[in-house]
Amino acid sequence: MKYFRTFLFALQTEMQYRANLVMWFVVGAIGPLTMVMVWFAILGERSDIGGYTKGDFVIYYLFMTFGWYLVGGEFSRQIGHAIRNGEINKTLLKPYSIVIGEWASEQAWKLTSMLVSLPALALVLYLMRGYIDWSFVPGQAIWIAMSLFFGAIIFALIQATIGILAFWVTEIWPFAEMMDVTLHLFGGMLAPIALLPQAVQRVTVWLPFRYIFFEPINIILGNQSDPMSVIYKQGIFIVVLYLLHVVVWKAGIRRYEGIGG
Amino acid sequence: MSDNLVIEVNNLSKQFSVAEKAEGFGASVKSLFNRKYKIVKAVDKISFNISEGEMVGFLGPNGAGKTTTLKMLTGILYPSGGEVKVLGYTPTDRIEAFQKQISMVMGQKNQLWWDLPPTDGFLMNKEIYQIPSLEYKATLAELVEILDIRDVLSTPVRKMSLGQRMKCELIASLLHKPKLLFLDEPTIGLDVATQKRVREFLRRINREYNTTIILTSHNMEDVQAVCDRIIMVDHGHKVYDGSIANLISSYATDKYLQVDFEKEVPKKELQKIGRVVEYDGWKAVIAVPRKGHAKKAAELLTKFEIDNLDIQEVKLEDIMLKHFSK
Repeated sequence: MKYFRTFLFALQTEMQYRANLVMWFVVGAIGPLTMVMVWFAILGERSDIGGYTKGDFVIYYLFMTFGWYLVGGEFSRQIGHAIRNGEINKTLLKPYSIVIGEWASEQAWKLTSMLVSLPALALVLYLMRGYIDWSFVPGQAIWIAMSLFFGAIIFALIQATIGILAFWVTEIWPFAEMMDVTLHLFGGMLAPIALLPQAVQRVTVWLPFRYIFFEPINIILGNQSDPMSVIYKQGIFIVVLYLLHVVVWKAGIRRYEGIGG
Repeated sequence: MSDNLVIEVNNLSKQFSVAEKAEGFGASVKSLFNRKYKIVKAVDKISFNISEGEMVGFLGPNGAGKTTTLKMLTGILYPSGGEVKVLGYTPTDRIEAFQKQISMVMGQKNQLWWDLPPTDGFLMNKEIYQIPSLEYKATLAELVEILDIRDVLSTPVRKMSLGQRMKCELIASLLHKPKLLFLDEPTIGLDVATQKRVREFLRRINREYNTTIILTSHNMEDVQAVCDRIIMVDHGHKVYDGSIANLISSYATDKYLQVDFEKEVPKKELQKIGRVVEYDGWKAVIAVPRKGHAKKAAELLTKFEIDNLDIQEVKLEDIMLKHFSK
């Protein structure tokens, strides 16, 4: 309940800054439109690249954008900031986890920006409607929901662990940037992993990143014939990342120097 | 005050590893490849006990180890050595039952939500500490009444004055009725009237709820008004633990004679009586040895035409200054 209250307060704070909402609308449209335009230019007169048609690219990047609001975020930066300037002190005194608190708080601006982006995404969908040949399979709904949920947990655990690194390195933004770049390459945010070189594709199987966005979107697009195997692998990564997170937190808090008052 | 120990500290130590770097660009490049560290002992084998209901001032200059000690007592920092038990718990275990019995107000940090009214922050603490609704309402009403802050409860925190914010911070910290309240520079930046109100408030919650209060402050008026006992630390060591009166009688070898003259008196004449601390011709403060101060006062009365004479104890502030500027 306390974290839901955190979410509500963060939502109230978002509403205080109305100008930001307009910006989210613009950002919501620019991201997928840019990527779709790039791939349209690459495709030219060809019908597909690696099995991906123009319509598949539209759907891929629209869901990637929408999925980022559901699953993604950047709360590692907030955790890192709180450790760096000592803001974490007040949470260490209370029965309150800064990790869950920052995660809950982030859901507020993600929800706000997602709602504001929806009309922009709908506009992109409308403009590109001529290319789209995709239909939703109701039987896949449970797998989609589960894979998105597990993807969100994997993402949150990585973000939390990166944030906690501030106990050692003080400034975590290079690590957060590294996470973004890695997600773009190995997580399929830049391009569908199926279009990457075979060697890179083989590496991605052993990393958690493809299970955050790429595999759930694969299930949405109907490209994954064995969704259960995705859920299974996500489960393994969740266990491993959770254990890593706990170890890093316990070691980090021991070396914390309590900066500031 | 009871004899129930709420804080037991034995040989508590904390050391930090601090990176060293000489000035200049070259030194920055060098430190990229060969960084040197030095060990700083922030707290060095401090021991003390505090009983339930005590009001204790932690005094010392900047960097003496006051705040570091407080952070170890509240579980923010792990000690490098020694033992600490607070309310029977090891603070760094961060057990919920322990955290629900303590609170800390940091004069330079906010716990309230910057963009929202303080009442939202209070509600957050209600959830965090799982305070029953009826108890929450009653405690909030009482604290708001005592601190006279009703008018600003719907104002966003960022638009409040420092004094209003500090009062709200105090309310937020006390909603769950902690047994132990830690205050780190609670009156920093506050105007005189608000400082007075905060001190009165602290005395009142101690009296009414038997709350144990541990205070660090550079403001000696805070300490004298609130604390029964002080612990002085310097360079991580405990240098005094006892009552303020005892400190003054054992550290202050002088007494102050504050004199108003009928007519102007040359400073040279006063220097024959004692050390002139303040002087403007018509008024002076003269420090004389504690032993025999009455004789010196009599000498003043016979030698000069005096309008008023006060014999004063040396101020706590002066003792601190004298001790820590050695």
